[in-house]
Amino acid sequence: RIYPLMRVTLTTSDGASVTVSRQLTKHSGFIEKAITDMAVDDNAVPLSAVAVDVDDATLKLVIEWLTEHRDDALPYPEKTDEERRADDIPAWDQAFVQKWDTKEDQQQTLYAVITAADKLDIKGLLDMTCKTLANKINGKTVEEMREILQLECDFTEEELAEIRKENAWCEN
Amino acid sequence: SKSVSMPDESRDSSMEETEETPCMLSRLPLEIRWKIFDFVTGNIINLQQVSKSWREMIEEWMIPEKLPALHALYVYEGTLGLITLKIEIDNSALWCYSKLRLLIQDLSKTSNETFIELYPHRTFISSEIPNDSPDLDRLASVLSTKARMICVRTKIWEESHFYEGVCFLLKHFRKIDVLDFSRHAIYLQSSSELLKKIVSNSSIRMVKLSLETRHLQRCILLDVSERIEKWPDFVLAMFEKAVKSIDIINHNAPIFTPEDFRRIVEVGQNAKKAIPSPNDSSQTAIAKSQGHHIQKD
Repeated sequence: RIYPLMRVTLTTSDGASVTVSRQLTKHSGFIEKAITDMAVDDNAVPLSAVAVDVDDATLKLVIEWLTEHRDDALPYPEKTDEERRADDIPAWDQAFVQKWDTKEDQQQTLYAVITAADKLDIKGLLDMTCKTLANKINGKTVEEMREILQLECDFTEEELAEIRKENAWCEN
Repeated sequence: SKSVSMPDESRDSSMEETEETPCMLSRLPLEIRWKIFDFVTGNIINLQQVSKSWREMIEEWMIPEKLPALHALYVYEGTLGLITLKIEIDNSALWCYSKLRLLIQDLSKTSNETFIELYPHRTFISSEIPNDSPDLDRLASVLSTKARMICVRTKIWEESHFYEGVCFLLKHFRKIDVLDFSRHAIYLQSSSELLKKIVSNSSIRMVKLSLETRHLQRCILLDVSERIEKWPDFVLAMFEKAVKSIDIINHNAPIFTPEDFRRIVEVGQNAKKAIPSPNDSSQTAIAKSQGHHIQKD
């Protein structure tokens, strides 16, 4: 049972503390397990601090997303391979991620949020950020992908020709 | 036999790249990278050409569990202990069947019956493989674990060795939309054993069977259900095991009496109250036999 008014204090990897509602943390498998493991009185306000291996700036973004999605149904619906698609990101989420694109370190922010969503076990956020990254790659040429992923080509021309030959049957 | 497993983390291809390049995606845990690849599907070919380590990562990801469903797999009993195979793949999914293509290329060196036919929307891969050949295992390890349809057909007088080969070939399948065992496919104990094995290992939406009920009803159905003595019991037991609908078309012999139908309906309606299933209301039995037609909703 979740008490919406109950609050949880989270301590970040860089020493900050953030207090949030259980209504938000219920979406995090990691935090919910930590609270259960503490076996504290559910009426304690606030609950003892839960340490999370996420920095303060990233946690703020996570909390912003959780606040918007506080009423999402739980458990998060698992999709089959056939149902999986990357073009169904809700408008609010798209705008939320686009804000990072104006930052110089937007790629870093996206990876930081993906990693945080994984560590905190927030399935909806992890799904959305993975889709966002996939959408950056989808439809791009090899050169554009290298640019996005910040990678140098280490194939020889012969090796590239061999890969293209292997995949030629898909293009016929 | 060869089993499919997750790649060893200790030889994770991203490790090398992390030291050499600033690519952050490479540093993500394996399961997250795989999750991202799941969403990139249509552009995997280009992704393979980005760098050597990325090619390795993609190849690691292309395990049978990740491959898109086969459109269809036809497994026919051939002559002289051969299994005749026809694999049907949607062209939109071909990009991740490169390992299959390489295997077929290899097999075609020894078999004239192994070839690939490309059509605008679908590709057909045909082969003939001896039913005791290790190539069946090689083939099983490069196919998806999912298929929209698997069709197994035998000759009139089937060979039990055929089923040993089929078992090898189908052992990795976990999700099958339609499993079609044709008219002569279930005469032997080995064939019903195979059917039972596939049904117990996979999630199957529909099994299509043709039965010679006069001779085989008891043997086959007992093997499938292990608890069936009469047709009405069989129908009810299948509903109890979460089957949502049963369509029985019987041309030859009377297998249901009107009393049987009444009993199915009565027990089924009582079970609706006892078995909590979200789809109970959709459980429908349609039995067509000697002009009878019963539908339970």
